[in-house]
Amino acid sequence: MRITKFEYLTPSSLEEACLVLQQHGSQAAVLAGGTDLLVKMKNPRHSHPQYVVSLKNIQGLEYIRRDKDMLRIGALTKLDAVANSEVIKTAYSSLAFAADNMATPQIRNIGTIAGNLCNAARSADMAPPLMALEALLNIVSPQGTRTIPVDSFFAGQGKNTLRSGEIVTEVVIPLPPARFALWYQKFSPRSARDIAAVGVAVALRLDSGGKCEKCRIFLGAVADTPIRAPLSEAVITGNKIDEVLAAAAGKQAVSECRPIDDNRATADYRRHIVGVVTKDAILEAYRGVVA
Amino acid sequence: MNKFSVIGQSVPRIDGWAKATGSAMYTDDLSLPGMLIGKLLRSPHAHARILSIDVSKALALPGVKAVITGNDPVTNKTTHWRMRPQLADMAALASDRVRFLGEEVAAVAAVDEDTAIEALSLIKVEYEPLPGVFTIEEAIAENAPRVHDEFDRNINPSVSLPVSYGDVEKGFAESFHVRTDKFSTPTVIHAYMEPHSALASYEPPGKLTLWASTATPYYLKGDVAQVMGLRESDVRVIKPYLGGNFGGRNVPFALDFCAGLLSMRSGKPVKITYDRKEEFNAAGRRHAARLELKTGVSKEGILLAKEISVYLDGGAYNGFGPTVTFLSGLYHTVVYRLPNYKFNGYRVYTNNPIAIGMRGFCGPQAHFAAETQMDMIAEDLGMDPVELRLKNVIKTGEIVPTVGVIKSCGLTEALNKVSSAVNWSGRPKEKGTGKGMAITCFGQMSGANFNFYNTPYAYSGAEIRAYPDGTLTLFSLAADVGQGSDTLLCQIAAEELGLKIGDVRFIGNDTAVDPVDLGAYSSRQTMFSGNAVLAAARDLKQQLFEAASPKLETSVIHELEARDGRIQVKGSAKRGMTFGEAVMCVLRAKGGKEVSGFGTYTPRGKGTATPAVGYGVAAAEVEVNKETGVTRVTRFTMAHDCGTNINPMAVEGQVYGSIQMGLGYALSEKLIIDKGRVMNANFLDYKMPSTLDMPEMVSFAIDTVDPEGPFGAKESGEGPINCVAPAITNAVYNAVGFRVMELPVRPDDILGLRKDKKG
Ligand SMILES: Cc1cc2nc3c(=O)[nH]c(=O)nc-3n(C[C@H](O)[C@H](O)[C@H](O)COP(=O)(O)OP(=O)(O)OC[C@H]3O[C@@H](n4cnc5c(N)ncnc54)[C@H](O)[C@@H]3O)c2cc1C
Repeated sequence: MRITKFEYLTPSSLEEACLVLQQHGSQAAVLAGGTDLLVKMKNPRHSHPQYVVSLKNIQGLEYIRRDKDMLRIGALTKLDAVANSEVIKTAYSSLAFAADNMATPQIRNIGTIAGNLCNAARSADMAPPLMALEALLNIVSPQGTRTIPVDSFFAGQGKNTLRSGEIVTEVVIPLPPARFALWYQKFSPRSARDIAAVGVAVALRLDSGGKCEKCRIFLGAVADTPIRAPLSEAVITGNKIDEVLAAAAGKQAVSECRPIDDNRATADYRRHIVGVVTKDAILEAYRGVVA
Repeated sequence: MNKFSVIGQSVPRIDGWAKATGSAMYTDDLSLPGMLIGKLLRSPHAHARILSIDVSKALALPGVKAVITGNDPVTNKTTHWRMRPQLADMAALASDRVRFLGEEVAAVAAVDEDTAIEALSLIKVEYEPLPGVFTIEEAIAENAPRVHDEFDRNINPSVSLPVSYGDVEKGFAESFHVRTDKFSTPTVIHAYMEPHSALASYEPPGKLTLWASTATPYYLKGDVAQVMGLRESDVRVIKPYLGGNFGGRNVPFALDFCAGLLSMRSGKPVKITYDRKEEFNAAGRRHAARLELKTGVSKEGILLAKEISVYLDGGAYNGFGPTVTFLSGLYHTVVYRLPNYKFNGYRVYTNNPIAIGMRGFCGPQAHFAAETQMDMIAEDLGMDPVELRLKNVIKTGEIVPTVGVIKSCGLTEALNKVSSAVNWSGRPKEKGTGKGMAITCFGQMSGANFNFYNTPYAYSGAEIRAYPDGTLTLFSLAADVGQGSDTLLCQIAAEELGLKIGDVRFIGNDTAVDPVDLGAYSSRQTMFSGNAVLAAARDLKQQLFEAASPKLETSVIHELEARDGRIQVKGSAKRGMTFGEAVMCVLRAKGGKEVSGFGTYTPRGKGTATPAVGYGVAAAEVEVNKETGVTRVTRFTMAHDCGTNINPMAVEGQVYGSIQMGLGYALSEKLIIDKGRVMNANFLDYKMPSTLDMPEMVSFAIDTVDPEGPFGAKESGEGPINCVAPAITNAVYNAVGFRVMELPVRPDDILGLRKDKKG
């Protein structure tokens, strides 16, 4: 497979980048790490951009920092940096672990956090945990800036809600309140270098009595986009979490997912696994709080 | 104590340094001045008539130097089956019909890859699509569309060889228990690391040099010469370092012919390298199989009769068809004593890419069925499956009708070794606990005796030159494909001549330089090439002894030996000279003529199949997660009787590699093919086990000495994979309590979510 010819543009500021993007509209694509984009460009079934707009010459998009009660991650931050950041590990070790569990070292060294989200694969590993954490995306365009929650960013398999000329600049995550934990569990039958057949993120907050005060559950790889599982959340909200309750919530999640048959797993199998993994993730998150 | 000095040592690979540091050159690393890049145009149809091909636009594209089609080869039929030309059904390039999706119909050479790819898009081919057959069942149906017009129900009768001995009907009648079971195995790929590559340089008038990622340079030389209309030795094939074979490079592919033809046409060197997609879509693969086994046993568990029927999905062309088909039966006869045996094997043409030999050469298919059924029979009889095996395994000295006398067999020792290593008798016997263990046996030929190529040469030849500085050059065309045969052959030469491995330089893999050797397939190199090297070393040693003995003033009762770098009277280091001095004596006596020994090996009078059989036993221990259906192999133990173990580290490598390959075969690997189109043609969707999926591995060597092998050695490259999958799936059965008769056994099979497969 060969990449068809394209023009490679390297703007040195966000303003310039947004302008070229807007100018070329659907003919242009943003390049961050390129680990998704270049693979797609080799695939004859995808449309091929005529202009590839690299963000690599734009300074100041690669950082992880604590800012008051927020964690700020620059769009070009590498997955490897997310995996190894002490700041992230302290706040949400499961998020760091999710990044560490993705792809291969080579890919983690060039793939970016925003690239993973913008690519909008149903199996993107950064999506469910960030959605569960109520993370926000900061976006710039020639018209200015806007902020949207990650959980309203996806529009379908491979589709996000960015408009022409827009670039994601930052992922913002609220720091954990008291009695709070996140757990992301990725499942694939093979142990390594695999795309999630199912991914489940659970963010839990317990009240002072140990009951579930608030809970957000997101499922990856089992619908067109990563999806929320509100019925499953309802099963545990207000209740004391135990095996039985977690299993019941898992069962609800099965009814909420809409998986497909593909070469990686059958829909029936994915549905079954959603139940198992949701249950496990709830229990792990719970242990994360009470431990 | 080891009576050898080099044999039996874990000698590091002589190519290890170059490979580990990246300095080793593979075919695609090579480049010649003015070299063009070649690309192949592939059929988008699984079955179609070619009505016309128009290459004029491609030829007109600036930068394009040559375009060829199926009309350009001088002979457009290629085959290794010179002995039976009626089996030659494959063309260098398709000319009137394509029979699988991805079949090559034209080739271009251009100044760079982009131009070559653009040129492909300018070739106009008019196809008339034909109905195809894509599974064994479709292919053998009444009035099925024919892949080759001459063969009804897509069976080439000269590929299908019934074999029988004894009287199975009588055997079944005398049996206490008879059972019939059906098994099914998938199409999987070799997945060697290095994709196919060929670089051809035509030197007018009439000479061609071809660097190719082949495992059989000698066959390739003849095959390419025939297609190009050259004399055999006008073609010089050089095999650079090779990144894995597993049987995938034993037949020539379109690139090997097209590189040569394009170079001849353009007057420039031409290189063609497959990308991974081409490998998945159009290179060789393992035969998918449907097997039916009917087996009868006595009350005591003695096997009395076995009737086997095998259907293999051969894909569109013949490849190694007859051999694969024959062997799919043979394995049943070499492991257990079988008084009555009947085999019917059919290799079926389909419109899938061509199936060829792959590690084990149908051994994994046969062993999956045989070893699964052995466990079923043991359960029916209420007998320990290891006990059942101990009662039936072949022993040294027994005669197997399909092979001859089995001169060495360590199966009994291996069964005992493995059972005690895994504490078999102490295992929990309850089924369905999520944990399971199983033990299986294997047998594998040490090289094939068949002369399908009708070669006039010895099967293996070797030359060793010796120099006064005490060093050697070893010439061999044995074709190390990554398994380490170059190192092993150097060990044999060094051992026999009393030198160190560092004293030997290996010059191999060049048909214009080395004596003929048939190459790397059927686990033949230790036995065949090794014996040739040993014979060459002995020839050389004899010359050294003859020249040295007058100087050493030996009498008729003295015996000489080559040892520790010296030629000396046996047992008396003082009465001797250095190896180099002895070489100098010969050199002087012969007036300066190179000092050189020649040796050959051909398995004359060694039966129809193989001169020796390698054996072994494996134990798999598994844990099955009942919630997810995921099987983890926690430990895999293997005891391998490869005769004398010439290089323990190399044998361990073969065992470990076989476990990895067998693990994928058992649990995850399968090409998903939809109407001839491979749906998972990448390593993301084609699930090979990764390092993290590997179990703890334990490998034992069982000491036997095979009188036929060099220093008593036998095969090790293929046998170990044969018993891996059934060990795992039998262990899974013990863990979950039900059987899946079709590989691979995936998590959804275990959870019963594929009800069609639950046995
Ligand atoms: C071998 C391999 C294994 C992989 N394994 C995994 C895995 O286990 N889990 C997983 O989730 N993914 C996996 N991936 C996918 C990929 O590596 C990740 O999604 C990665 O994070 C993508 O980041 P990138 O910077 O390379 O994105 P790019 O390829 O540069 O971009 C991806 C898409 O996002 C757009 N984009 C990128 N950045 C921005 C931005 N700042 N603003 C607007 N649009 C933008 C691009 O235009 C493009 O459409 C794997 C990929 C490979 C090749």
